[in-house]
Amino acid sequence: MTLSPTSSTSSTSDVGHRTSDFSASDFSALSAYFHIPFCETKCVYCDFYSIEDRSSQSKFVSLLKKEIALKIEEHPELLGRELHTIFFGGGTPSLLSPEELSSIISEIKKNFIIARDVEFTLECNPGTVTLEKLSGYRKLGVNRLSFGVQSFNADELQWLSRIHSADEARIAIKLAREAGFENVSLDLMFALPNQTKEKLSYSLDEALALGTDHISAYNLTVEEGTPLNRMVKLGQVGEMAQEEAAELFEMVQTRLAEAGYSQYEISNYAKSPATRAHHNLVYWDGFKEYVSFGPSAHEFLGGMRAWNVSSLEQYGAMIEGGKLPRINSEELPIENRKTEVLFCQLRATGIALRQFKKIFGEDLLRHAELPMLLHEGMVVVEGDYLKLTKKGYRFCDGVVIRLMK
Amino acid sequence: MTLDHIRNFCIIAHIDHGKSTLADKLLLETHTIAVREMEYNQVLDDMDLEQERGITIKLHAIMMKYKGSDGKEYTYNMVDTPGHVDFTYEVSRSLAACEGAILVVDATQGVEAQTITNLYLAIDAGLEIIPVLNKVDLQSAMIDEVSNQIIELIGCKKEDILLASAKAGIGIPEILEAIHKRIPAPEGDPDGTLRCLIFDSLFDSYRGSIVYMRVFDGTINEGDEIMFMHSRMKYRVEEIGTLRLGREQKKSLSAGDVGYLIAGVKNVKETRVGDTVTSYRNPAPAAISGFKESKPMVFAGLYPQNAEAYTELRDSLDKLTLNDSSLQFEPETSVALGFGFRCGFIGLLHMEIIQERLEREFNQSLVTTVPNVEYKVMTTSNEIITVDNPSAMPPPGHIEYIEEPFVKAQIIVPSEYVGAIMKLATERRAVYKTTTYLDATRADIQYEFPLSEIIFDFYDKLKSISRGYASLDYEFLEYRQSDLVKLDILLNGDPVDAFSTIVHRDKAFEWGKKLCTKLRELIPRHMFEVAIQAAIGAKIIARESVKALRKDVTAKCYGGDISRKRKLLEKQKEGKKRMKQVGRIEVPQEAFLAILQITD
Repeated sequence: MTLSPTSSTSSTSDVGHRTSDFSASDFSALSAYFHIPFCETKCVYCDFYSIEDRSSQSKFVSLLKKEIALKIEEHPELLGRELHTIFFGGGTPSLLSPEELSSIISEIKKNFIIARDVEFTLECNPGTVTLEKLSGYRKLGVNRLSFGVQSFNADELQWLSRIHSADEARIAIKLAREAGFENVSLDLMFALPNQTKEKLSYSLDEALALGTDHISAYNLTVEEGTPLNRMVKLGQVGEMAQEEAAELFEMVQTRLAEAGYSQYEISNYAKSPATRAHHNLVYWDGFKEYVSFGPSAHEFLGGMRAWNVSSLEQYGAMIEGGKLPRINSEELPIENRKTEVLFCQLRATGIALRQFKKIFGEDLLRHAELPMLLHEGMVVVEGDYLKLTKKGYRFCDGVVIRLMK
Repeated sequence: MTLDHIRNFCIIAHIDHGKSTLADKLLLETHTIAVREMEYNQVLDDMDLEQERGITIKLHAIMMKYKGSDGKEYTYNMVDTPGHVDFTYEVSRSLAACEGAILVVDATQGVEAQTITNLYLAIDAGLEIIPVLNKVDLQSAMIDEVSNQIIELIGCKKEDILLASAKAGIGIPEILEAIHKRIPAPEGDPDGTLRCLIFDSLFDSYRGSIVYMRVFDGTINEGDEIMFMHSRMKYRVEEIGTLRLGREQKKSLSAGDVGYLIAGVKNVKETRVGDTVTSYRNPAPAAISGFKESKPMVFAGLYPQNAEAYTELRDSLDKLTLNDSSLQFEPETSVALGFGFRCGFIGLLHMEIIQERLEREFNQSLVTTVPNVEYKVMTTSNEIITVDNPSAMPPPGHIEYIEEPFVKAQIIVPSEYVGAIMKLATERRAVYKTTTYLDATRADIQYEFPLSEIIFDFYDKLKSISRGYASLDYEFLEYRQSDLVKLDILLNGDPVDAFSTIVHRDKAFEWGKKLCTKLRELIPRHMFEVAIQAAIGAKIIARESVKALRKDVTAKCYGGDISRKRKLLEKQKEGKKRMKQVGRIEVPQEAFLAILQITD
């Protein structure tokens, strides 16, 4: 990672003052992300930081707790802040035993207040859960589970190098209900190489039959540094053509809408506003703050974005040396912040126009591209919000670029 | 004062045959410079670009003092010559300043086309030739074969050929001796009417034009009133001197001398290569013969990437012309590209050099159109117009006929590649003239080419089909009538002037097809379908389309990593900004040169 040109000055600038420029920062609400970097096997497409060697898992739990303490030392103002959402992501957080999770939560509670109506999500791999484990999580206060199911087709699951079967996915979700989870989400992937409409349709049918409260459906992307990327480069796998992928995307949108799931972000659909992923909505707000812990985790505090080192070894060494495992940070000039807010808000529930005008001094309703975007059916103006349409979600990047200066 | 201690000479060689290395060794051996002064490997090339291309673009001269084996002190003036096809005229003026030439031939490569062209120029100018076989220490040296080629060419004796390795320092003393023994001393009357030949000039922002010249007759003094015979401009000599590593000021220069002149001339256009300097009060009855106005042969539009940089680009071109009298430019407007300049170059290499200098030395971001030649068009109203921009070609119904420039080209190639060269030449509409064999293995093929056919990738093609062995030289021959048509490209029905080209009718269909295909690859998808059509007049001859964008999003943006996505979007935005907006269509710059990427 490279240091952004602005970050060298940011360390000496008055963070408090800068924050007041972006007065929408909400000090009362805070979110927290925890990155659990272990996986039984790494999937071909995944570019999140994870490792298959789990021998240091228990040591990692204690490092994570130390990181929480170190963070409070460096940011004493965070002490006692109320956490409205908590998200354990990875990696595979469901590799944590309830005991390990309990120990992390007790450290969280020492430093933060967990809101009464907190959304507390834990990502699960269906191949790693038992009723006992899920009940344990529930008792600890976890109230939302997000299952990485990806597909209900055996051949696709194998190609994606998932460790679970379609049946295991179905069972895992039943167990979640049995354990008392009322907010359950599942992830699907589409536009896999050579995926037919029939195959995707089957996965959608099966997902809908399970009646989860939330569904994420991701268009497969080939990321640098993944085994999938190598396979594509070697010509072993062909990426799906844009036309086909667009058709599948539209099919996902249509089918989920018909089944009563409303799209509130490019890849996310919820049965009701209450079961949206509120933690992710914090990311896409562009102003709300979140703290983060664990290797490769990103946070946004006091107008400053910072992220941790993507190596468990260096992560451990830095924490043991009494330092936050931060690898880089940036505090952006207003023009770049504007871009952030544009693409974050637009991709989800829409740009809050008055707030945007107040902070960046630009009235998007007068943007030269807006008439054309409206004409093309990309966006709509609803109340104070500039929102993507169903079609617009499929063209989000292009729309953002046109709205950028 | 006698002139018999002066020797004026130059070095003729093909690129990479070792001219610069040899020049350096002569300077070292005569203590003109010390080893530590050789900051670069080769001191005669002092521009960045020359270092990289291995081509001497700008001429220089340097004076050496040499004590001969006969005990006499000699003054050697070594005049450098440019070594590329575009600069034949400049070479001829450098040669005219000398009485002798060292012909350097790489013993591992043999004689090349350019060597021959320049050698013939030297022989025509009456120069004494000292043949030197270079790189004789290399294992791959073919001393006998290459010696025979040289004997065949200049009719010398085998003993006349000096064997050397400039790199290893072999044969350097022998060359220095041969210079005063074989090359005649200059003739001329120091008391006669002043006549000096300009063989180069360059622009200095403090002193104005610095003229490099050879005095043929008379004596020139500081303070003299002089006149440039071609431009008829009068000046007073501010400074004169000889050329060592730097300039060495003198009070006067006389017949036989090589040196420099500064007279407060504000523009190199007034001190043209080949012009004669004479006395204002007592002018010579005739100028030194051989002056030619160097005429641009290749034309292209240069446009600033951002319209705001137009003035800056004009200033940069102005500054370049101060130093380069061959460069011409005038403002032009393109519907697609906005305000820019139509520039004339003496050849394709010259164009590349100018483009690179604008980008590197002047930080200009350019959009360049496809280069073309200048056409003469006879209209139906019996008018002859010259067209140096394809978009200015009259409609087909108004054209009686079109003439295009032809060149006389010489290709020298090992005999096994003759077949491949013939095939290439036929594809390029060449008219075959003759083949002569320099020896058993090397053929000298003469052609007449339409210039337009060799300004594109011809030289690269020639090199690749001959594994680098073929060499090319050409000179302007005449204008000839050809069956040419203007090929237009339309985007969504609107012609884009910057894409227009002039091609031979027989090739138009294929080119149109290939150009459309290439543009389909280069033009990004839009929200709407983009139709690409090739047309001759109103007739569409090829069509392709860029399908409409169906999806433009990558889902990734989870785990709170906002920075990466922002950088990605900012990069995409930058890329979009670099494109040229033609109507509603965004066209990347490289598309305007797409025709150059078409392989036949």
